[in-house]
This record gives sequence, structure tokens and C-alpha cells, in this order.
Amino acid sequence: MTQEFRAPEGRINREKLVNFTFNSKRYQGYEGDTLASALLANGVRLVGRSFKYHRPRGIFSCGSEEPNALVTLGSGAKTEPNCRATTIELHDGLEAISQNHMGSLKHDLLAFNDILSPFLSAGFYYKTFMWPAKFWEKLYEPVIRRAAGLGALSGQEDPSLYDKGFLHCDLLVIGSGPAGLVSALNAGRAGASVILADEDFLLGGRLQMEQMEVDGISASQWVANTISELAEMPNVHIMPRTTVYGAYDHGTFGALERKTDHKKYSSGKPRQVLWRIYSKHSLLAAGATERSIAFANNDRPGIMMAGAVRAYSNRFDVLPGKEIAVFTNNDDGWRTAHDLHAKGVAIKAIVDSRESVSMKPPSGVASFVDTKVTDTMGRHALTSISLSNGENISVDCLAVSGGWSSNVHLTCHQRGKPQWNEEIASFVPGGELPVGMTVAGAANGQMTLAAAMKSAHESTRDILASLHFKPKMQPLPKVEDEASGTSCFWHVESGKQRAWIDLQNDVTAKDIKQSHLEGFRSVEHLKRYTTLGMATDQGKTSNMLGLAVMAETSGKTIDETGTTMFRPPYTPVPIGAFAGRSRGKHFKPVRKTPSHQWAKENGAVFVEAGNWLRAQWYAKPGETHWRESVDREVLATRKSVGICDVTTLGKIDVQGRDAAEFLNKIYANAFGKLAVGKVRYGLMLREDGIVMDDGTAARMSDTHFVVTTTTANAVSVYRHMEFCRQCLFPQMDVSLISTTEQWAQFAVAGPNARKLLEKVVDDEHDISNDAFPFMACGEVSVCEGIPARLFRISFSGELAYEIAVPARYGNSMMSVLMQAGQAFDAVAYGTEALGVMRIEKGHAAGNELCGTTTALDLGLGRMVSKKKDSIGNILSEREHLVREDCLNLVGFKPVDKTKGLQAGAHFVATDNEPIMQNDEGWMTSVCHSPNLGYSIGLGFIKSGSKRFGETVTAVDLLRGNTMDVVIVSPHFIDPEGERLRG
Amino acid sequence: MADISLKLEARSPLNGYSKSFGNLRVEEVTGKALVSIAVPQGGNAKLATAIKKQLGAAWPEIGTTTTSPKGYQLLGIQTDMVLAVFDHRGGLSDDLIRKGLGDKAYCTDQSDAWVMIRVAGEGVYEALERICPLDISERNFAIGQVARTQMEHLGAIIVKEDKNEFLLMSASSSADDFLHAITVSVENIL
Amino acid sequence: MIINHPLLGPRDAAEFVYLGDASLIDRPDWQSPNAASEFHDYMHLRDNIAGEMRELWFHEQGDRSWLVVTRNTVTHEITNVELARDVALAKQTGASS
Repeated sequence: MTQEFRAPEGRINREKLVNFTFNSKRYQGYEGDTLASALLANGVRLVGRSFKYHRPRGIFSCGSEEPNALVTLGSGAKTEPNCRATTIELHDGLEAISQNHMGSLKHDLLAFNDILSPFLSAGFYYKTFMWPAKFWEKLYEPVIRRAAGLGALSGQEDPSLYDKGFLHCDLLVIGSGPAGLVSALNAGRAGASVILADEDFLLGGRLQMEQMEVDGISASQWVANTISELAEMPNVHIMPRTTVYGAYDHGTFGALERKTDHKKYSSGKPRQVLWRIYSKHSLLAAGATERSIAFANNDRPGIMMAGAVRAYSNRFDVLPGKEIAVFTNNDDGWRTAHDLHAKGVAIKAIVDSRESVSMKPPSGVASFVDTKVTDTMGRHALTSISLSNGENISVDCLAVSGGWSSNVHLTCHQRGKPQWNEEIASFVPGGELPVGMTVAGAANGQMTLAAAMKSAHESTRDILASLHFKPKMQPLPKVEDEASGTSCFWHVESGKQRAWIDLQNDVTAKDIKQSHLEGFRSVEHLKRYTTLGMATDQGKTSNMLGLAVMAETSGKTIDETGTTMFRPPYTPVPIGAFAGRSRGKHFKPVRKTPSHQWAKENGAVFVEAGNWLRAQWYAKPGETHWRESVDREVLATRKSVGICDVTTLGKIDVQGRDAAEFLNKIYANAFGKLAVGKVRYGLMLREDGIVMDDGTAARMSDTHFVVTTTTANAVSVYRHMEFCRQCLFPQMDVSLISTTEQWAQFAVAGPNARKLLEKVVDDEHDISNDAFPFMACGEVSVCEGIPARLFRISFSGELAYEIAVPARYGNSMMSVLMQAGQAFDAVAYGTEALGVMRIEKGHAAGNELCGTTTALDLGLGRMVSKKKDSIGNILSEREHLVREDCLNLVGFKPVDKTKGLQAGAHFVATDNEPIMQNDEGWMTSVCHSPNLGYSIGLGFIKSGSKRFGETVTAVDLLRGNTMDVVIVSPHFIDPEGERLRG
Repeated sequence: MADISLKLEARSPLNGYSKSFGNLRVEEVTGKALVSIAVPQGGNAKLATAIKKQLGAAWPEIGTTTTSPKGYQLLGIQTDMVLAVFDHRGGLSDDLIRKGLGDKAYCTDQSDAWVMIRVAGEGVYEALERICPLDISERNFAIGQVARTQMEHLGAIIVKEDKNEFLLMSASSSADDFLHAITVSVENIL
Repeated sequence: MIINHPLLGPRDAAEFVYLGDASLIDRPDWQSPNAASEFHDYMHLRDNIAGEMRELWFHEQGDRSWLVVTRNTVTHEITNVELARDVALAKQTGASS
């Protein structure tokens, strides 16, 4: 098809033809077209079906306010539904399809919904599908969802790339129309850092869509000159294709920049970038949006906003029709007639609802005042209109103007509440604006060119002064104010015919009246009941009409009726853009242990522990089940020696004259008398007396301790210690710094641990049992002079050490330890074997330190020193926490040793009903003990330490697993602790 | 008896990564020692004097760096703590500093805790604005300034070393992801 | 939100971790005869203010300082930011003198 609706001139590049398809049919447009303008140029008028009634719909507007012309772009995983044809920048290879029809767009099988319309009015969901209730999920909802809706998602992962970023400026100018340009130019010349953002790909706003002159040259030429001057300024950042979608606290804005959406290929670059803009000040120059008038059948393809008709003609050289009528309640509508008449289009009539007007029609054009459009005809597109004076006029395009509404959207994102301005028949910004925001131009109610520029000029002068710039304001461009008389006229009585208010959600004037009759009096209720303004366009062209009809119905003024709240985003933002790069394996950062490389090369299976990746076990060739690997690692460690990377445990350097006193405060047990060269287990409570974390503190010198934390709590414990240091004990001389990353630390455990270490530790360091007994620590060197720290501590219950070397040697150290251990058949073990051994030994870990348990519960009650002040000391004495039958950490084994215990099972007395009232505690950790040959567990049970030998029932209703278990000591292995002192 | 055939090899977090992307260069900085120097309570003046004498550099105000002819650079990352950067000489780097400062400071070796990546060349601002939330524009962040912030969920230190040249530091365990964050930013703006 | 750090200037709230009411600085004396009830009140009783509130924020991705931020919980307006350590020291000096 040829572009038979093209007119001469305009702001498209006729040198560059662009090929695209719509519903698989091939078309051509020009560079600079939107999909909408190109479709109009090709005479395509029917572009979609409506949400509920499947009415034929066409292009309605020429911007992001579009309620009708929603299409699906792309195919396969790249499918993107609900794109506004009016904002899609045409490019080679663009594929678009229409939405919301079954069968072809022209012969939509779901169009019968339109006939059912009497049953589908406001609130029909609530009334019609009430019962039987069980039908709702299975029948009603799926059917309704299929019949009513917009485009469909692909259901596949979005393969496009997105990115995020941060920008800073003195002044963010939102909108590049006349007000925005005047502001950016003056601020830029004054030396302020300026971001000028506009959602359109062509800057200039309405200046590109009107026949106007600025400073004696065409408006578009003035825009071009201004932009090229701004582009020369290093302090001005011009961002076309960028929607500022939200105004947040303290001058922060969200903006979405479309980077490659307008290109055939993205070349591996992100399609969109989500910016967080930090501004000292912002100038909202978002202009105004034209709204419609409600009259019978005002939704047919070919019925468009008058300003849009003019824009298509002036900017895109497209004539939306060949025989056009204008229906307006204001002066601005008349300009459409003049502009198109000048291009040789037949203007069949200008219909103005006002009783008298001062506007003159173009010569030879009929105009009717005090007249309304009462109905329209045309099945798939407009063919004629009827007027209140009885005339029928055949037209293929009706340009409607119900006046212009200031774009106050972003002014509402904090606490702003727009105020009604009767004179211009628009809500204007009111209430408390976002911090640092000034509104200028049409967005602020200055609806004409000269007034808009003047307001921006004055606002910018004030903003620059407040930012301490000394601007030399440029003289205002010479422009004229266009005629802007308007009236409050919203609705032509339509009898039984439907008059549309919200085109995207198919809300009619009747729906508004009905909801009023049913008692929905607040505008917020009206919105939710009728869904007015709740579609993806947020009612940009329709809210005003809805409010006006509601006001009319209720006999209130619009002022009294008020408006609903606008919320971010201004236009839809893909979820992918919010995710940015944080998806898949980059969802969060990965921390690797120093021996990660070695582990990878030696069959490690990794487990996530917070952000860390830790070796869970090391699978040897031939091992087919994880238990084989874990059992082997445990048995070999207990028999000879095993090595485990324990770098992930948090390490905090505590130094200062008051270091010991500080530890006394943060630990429940005492540290003052700990000798240099010794380590002590430390129990940390929260102030409410519950256990926070545990670890060790090693005294390296009088004023220097190395504190360890659990892996999971490393960050929060450091934060807590800083809180104690700065907020609670600020007079103490103590300094904290994390050394978790500095030292690669390895547990070397098992009867041969010392022998192994003697091969690694340099000979001048005596690590014999006498010189370096259980709980000793010290600085040593390894492999001829590499500095290291040695701690004789044991989590496994074996003779064990932890040895730390600077992280740069970590990977090599793992390998060296394994080499040194060859003579002893040393094994590397992972977190799973670590867990088995600590359960066998009865040591508490994360499962037991779960945020509800006390020192007493853990059997560590006596550690809480009452002779000193420490965090949690006082409240650990609370009555409920110290009662006689408090929980105790004990061990469990199954009566039937062939059975596996389940963590999470709850204990009840045997033969007692498994209900909450009978609950006595729960199983926290279980494992198969390869040393004992059966399943063992740790858990909390009331008065457990007095009940060894008693049988109770472990109930796991979730997994349907109930069994009898015997309460035993939690120390399954070496209860006397002989091994670790050996 | 120690087995003298066992040798430890040092490896930097990124194994000496270095790559050019158009005009931009991303490279790991290796061979540096890092030592945190904290002030004992009330000892600010004494420590400043000792540092000046021992290291030849002034105590940096928070957010700034100082350098000395002896090859020390001090990063002012907290009011009561600075990071000293100098050539790594083996052994424990904190011992080296402590020797000179005695009990006037609390020193901790941080040489292996950080990965250091230098990003330099034209376009460095555009690349870093994808991950750095701070205003590092020329007029707000001069050569020699330092800041601590987060980039792509990772804690980071940023130092402006020269026009179009930044040193970025982050935890060594997540060095791969930190490098990835930087190279993706660079690739995305090329 | 932007928190105007007293040493570093404006920083995004994303760099901070929130704790709660700055009254947590006023930890009772463990040897007070009413220690149990004082600690109970300290730990559990907070005013839930719709308006200006003094809060503790930790600059975790920054200089590791705890701050006392005076913020209006309704408007998010921040009117004062102090180093918590200074606040705590001033209180303790004030209490002992």
C-alpha cells in the first residue's frame, strides 16, 4: 500500500524509507515517523479492539496518553505487549500486531461482548459472578480473562538487556517543550549542570506539532537552534527518549531511557537504562494533555483528539482523514481546522458547543456554534456524524477537543493535591510539591506559548538564584499568545447510546452515573468501582471527563469532587528495567572462598551460604551419592585428618586499651582475664536476652583481639559491635575492622592434625601439646616465612586447629595442606561433613541459634556472667526465659535405627495427640552419623537434660513422618572431650 | 619437621587482569600493601605527628587522600581511621607500619582484603555512572578525593587518581563480580 | 531518601542501614535497683511518631558511622543529622556532671 495520506512538509526524513509490518502486512514509512503516524499515512485506521466490549478502535492521540492504539511488538521471547503505537519510533524491521481479538482484527469473534454490554457495566464482576463461589477460580475468572484484556506476555524469559545508572544535576528539566527549552537554555548558560529529559525522540514538545513562529523563525527551526546550542554546553545533558516516570524523596527522580528500542539491532547493548537522577532542583515542564468529550459512539476509529490531528499533519505530514470535522468546546480546536485547511484538506464542519465564539472559520468552511455532535456512524471506522441541529455530515475523521489538562502527574508523587482552576478548566499543581520542584508552562496552567515561556523564564531565574548562580537571563523569545478561550463542557446526553469516557478500560458515562446511584460518592471509590483511569494510560485523556460527569451527577462542583491521586510510574516501566543487571547468576554478588579454584578442580559441589559459595562436599570419582562423599570425609577426618576452608566465618580485629572491657560488654561471658595467646568461646546475646551469635575471641596482645562470628551473622555482628562502640560505650578506646577477607583460614582436624601442621609450620614455632595446648593461639610462619595465625580450636570435637594465612596464599595453602597430609590420607571436607561432625559433637550452629533461644536453652546458662554488665545480661533473667521447664538442647536417636530423623519435627509425649497444646519442643538439626551408623539429631525439648533415656514421639505432619525417638546427651562422640585436648 | 618442599604461591584476586576496551583500560592493581591505621581515643594530634614523621604524609581529612615522597598514600575513609597504601614488601604489612607508630595507632593488615582495579581513559565517567551512585563529576570530585559507597550491591572505595582515571576497590572475595560490574559498564557505553 | 551526612555530605539512604528510635542510645544502668523494668522499657517501649523522630542509621556502605537522623516520618523531611557518637558522649558527659 502506498502512503496515500501523506501531506507535504513536516519533521520526518523523506530521504529515508522505513519498512515495517502490521499484522504481518508490509508497509512503508519514513524515518521520524511513529508507528501510529506511519499507519495513518497508509490509511490503516482500525488498529485494535477494546478491552471489554471488543469495539473497533483506532489511533486516538499522538503521545504517551494513548488509550486505544496498543499493539504487541516483536515475537517469541522478545514479545512486548501493550505498546502505544503513538510513541513507538518507526524503524526498519519493526513488527507489530494488534491485540485483544479472536480471529482477525476486522472480524473479531469476541465482538459479541459488545451486544452483551448491558450485562457488563460497572461492577459486573461483583454482581454477576457471585455464586457458586467455587466457580470463580475455575470457570469465571479464566473465561473473563480470556475475553477481556490486552496483549499477552510470551511467558518466556525476557532476553533483552537492561541497565541502571545514576545521574546528578543542579537542575532537572522535565519536558523539552517551549518552557523546558527556555529553562534549560538559561540554566545552561548560567553554568548550572542541567539534565533535559523528554519522553519523545524529537525534542521540542508542541513546538514541533504547531504552525508557530518563535523569534521570527519557524518553531521547529528555533528548537533546532536551541538544541544545538545546548548540545555545545558540557554542563548540559540532553536526554531524548527518556521518561521521567517518578518523583521521589529529596529531589530524586526515576527515569527510563530507551537506548536501542528504536533500532533494528541492539548490538549487545541494553535496550533501556533505568536512571536514578539526583537533582538539587527540578523544573516540571510536562505540558498539557488534551481530553475528549463524551458523546454517543465517540470511540470509533477516525475520532481523534484535535491536537493530535494537527500534530500528525504538522509534524508527520500525515492527514488523519480526507474529510474532517472538528468538535470543540474551546478556541484551540479551531486551529486544527485552520492548519489542515491550509494543507488542502476538506474541513466539513467546525462544531463548537459554546453559545458564542470569537473564532473565525477558514474561508468556505461551515461552523456551527451552540451545537453538539450527538452520534457517529461507521462499523470499522467513522463514516459520518450527526449534529444536535439535525444535520448528518459524512466525514472520515472527527477531531475532538474537550480542552487541555495540565500534566500534574509528577506533582502528585509526594503529597501534592491538584487544585481546580475554573478559568482554564483544568486542575493545576497544588498542595505540597516534591522537594525542589517548580512547575512551569502548560503543566502549571500557563496554556499559551508566550505565557509558558515567560513562566519558565521567571522560574528558572528564581531557581538559579536559589542555587547561588548569577544568571544573565536571556531576553524572552518573541512569541505570541494563541487564542485559548475554553469552557467547561464535558458530556453530550446520549440516551441509550453509550458515550465513552475511558477508552482503554471501556468505561462509559452510564457507568459513572450508575456507580453514583449505587452509592459510590468518593472519587477514589468511583475509580475503583468503575476502573476509570486504572488502565496503563492512567486515564490521561479520560479522568477529567469522568470527574466532570460525576460532579454533574452528584450536583457538586469539580472542585468539590476533587481528583484521584496520580502515582508513579508516569508511563509503564518494564519489570526488566527495574531488575537491570541483577538477574540470573548476577542477581546478587558471589563471594568465593580463597580455595575456590582448588575446590573446583577437586570435585567440589558448592552450596550458597549467604553470598558465599562454599564447598559442600568433594565428590571423588566413583561416588554416586552425596552421602558417600560426606561419610568418607567424616570418617577420614575422625580417623586421621581432614581440612576445611572456614574463611567465611566473620573475623573482626578489636584493638584498643579497652578492647578486653569492650568484649566484656558484647559477650555474656567474661574476657578480662583471658591471657595473651589464648582463645575463648564467646556467647553474644541480644539486649533482650536471646542468643545473637557465638564465636571465639583470641587475645593476640594486651590490646588486640581477633573475634570470630558465624558466617551468616558476620555483617550484622560487626554492625552491632559498631553500635555498641559508638552509641553505648563511646568513651571506650577501641577500634574495629573486619579482617574476614584478609585471612584465608582452614580447619585442620583429626588425630593427625598436629603432625600435618608440623610439616607446614616453620620449625621455630613449637606447636607441641605442651607449648600449644587446647585453646592456644599465636602468630607463626609457614612454608619458610609466610606469616600465619594459628588457633587451637575445634568445632568437630577432634584435635583441631585453624590456621590462617594472608588470602593471597589461600588457594595455594589448601593445596599445600593436602600435600602435607598425603602421608596421613588427609581429606578435604565440605560444609556437609562439617555439619555432621558438629552434630556428633553436640555443638550449636545456626539452626540452634535461631533467634528464639537463650543461653540457658543451649545449656550455656552458666556462661552468662552476673558480675559484669553485658548486652542482654539483665533481660536474660526474664521470668519466662529462666523457668524450670525451659527448653534444653539435647540429642535424639531413633528407636528404630533404620529410620532417618527429620529436622523440624515436633516432640510430643508418646501416645499424646500431635496438637499444639502437647508440643514439647522441636528437632533442629539431623544427620546420618557414619561413626554411629544411624541417624542422630539435636533439638530443643522441655527439661530435656533431665530426661535422658526417655522416649518421645517426633511428629512431622508436613512430611507425614512420625517416629519414636530417645532423648540422649547431645555429645554423641567423645563426651569427655579427650580428643580435642590430645 | 617442616617439609621444605612445600611452597606457597601468592595470587592476586584477579590474577593481574588487564584489558582495553576502546579508549578505556581496566586493570587490576597488584603488589600493594594496605594497612588500616586507627586513632586511639584522644590521640589524633600525636598520631598525625607520628605519621608525618614516619611516613612523610599528612593525616588526610575524611574524603581526601595525602601522599608522601616515601611512597605512602593515605586514604581518609573514616574520621578515626585511614588506609595506608604502599608497595608490598612481603610479611605482615601492619607490622611495618606499627614499628614506626608504636602505640600511637592501631594497625591492621588489609592488603589481601581488597581487590584494586584502575579504570582509565575517555568515557570513564559514562561507564562509572552505571554503577557509582556518587557524583564524581570533575567539579564535585577532584583528583585526590576518595569516597566509600556501594556499587552493584558491593561495598566499594573510589579514588580519583587523575583526569579520567579512577581507582576502585572492593572486597577480594567478590572480585570477579566487581570486575564484571565494571567491564559490563564499560561495554555498555562503548 | 538523601541523608546529609555531617562529614560526607548528601548520601543516598541505600548506603545506610536503619535501626530505629535514637532512644536506644540511652541504655539503662545495669546496677540500678530497677534494672529489670528499666531495661524492659528501654528495649520494648517506643513511641510510634507520625512526625519528627530521632532515628539511628548506620552508614554501612560508607564511613561506618552511626548517625542520629531527625526525620519527619510523614514527609521524610530530614532536619538534622548528627554523629551518634557525639550525641552519646554529650549525654554521658551531661549525666556525669
